[in-house]
Amino acid sequence: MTGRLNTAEVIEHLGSDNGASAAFDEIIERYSERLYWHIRRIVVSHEDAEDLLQETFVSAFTASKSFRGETEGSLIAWLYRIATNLALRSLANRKRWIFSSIDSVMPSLAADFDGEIDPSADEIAVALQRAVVELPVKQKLVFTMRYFDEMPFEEIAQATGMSVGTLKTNYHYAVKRIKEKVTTIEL
Amino acid sequence: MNKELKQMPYRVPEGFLDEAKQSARIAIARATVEQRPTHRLQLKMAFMAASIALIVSIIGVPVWQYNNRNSLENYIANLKTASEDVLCDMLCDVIEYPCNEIDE
Repeated sequence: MTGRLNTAEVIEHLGSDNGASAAFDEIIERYSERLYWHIRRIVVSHEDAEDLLQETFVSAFTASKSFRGETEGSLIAWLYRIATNLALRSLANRKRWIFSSIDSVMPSLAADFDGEIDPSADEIAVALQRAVVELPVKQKLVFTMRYFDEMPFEEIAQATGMSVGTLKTNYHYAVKRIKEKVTTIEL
Repeated sequence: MNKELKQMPYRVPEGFLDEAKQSARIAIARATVEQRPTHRLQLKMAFMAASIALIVSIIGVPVWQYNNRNSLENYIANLKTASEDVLCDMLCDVIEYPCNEIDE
């Protein structure tokens, strides 16, 4: 691999015919881990998260000319938006009825959760994650992006298409629900 | 912020991240080939050939039937008088039509 690209170069290369694959080499190196964990918090299964991560990069690559941002924050928000949409679509495929809400899938995710846990993991971290898995999807998205990824609400708004006000409300309810389930936790 | 709480308690295969990055790079390389103009041109040409074949098969059958009907009509129109008489006799036999009335 040749020298690494900085953020400005990555963004500049995204729109070019020849440079997009070099830009993606850097994007994959930088953001694979956090995107993987973002997807995994939504879909729970490792195999699904791995497949969706690859799909996220390919979708972003084929749509790279549509990226209009200028900052790393907007690049991250764009990648999160693609990853989130793919993860939610994957959850939607698990719905039993076409017209039922995506939140109807959460009990089956909670059922998968125990099989995905590392036996040596911290007890409170497991309890927190179980509570996160059981959250309704909007609350889960804003909570995971804010709490685990420490993203500003403005970036989460770009990634989810929700307004900052709605996000703050959902975050508030998510924290309240989690504290009800994990009484020992201080968020 | 409690860093331990942010540790993911999920089980992950060892070295999965490097493998995931490698798979993603391979997928991007494949997508790059698929996006190349030559590849797209080949796809376009294959699509055009298939479209032309479909159009020919749709239009060709009625044209062939039309041409065949026209050649039969031309053949009948160019029959000699003797041949017409023979044909008329044959038709009269088949439909039992009084040929004398035609002659008159």
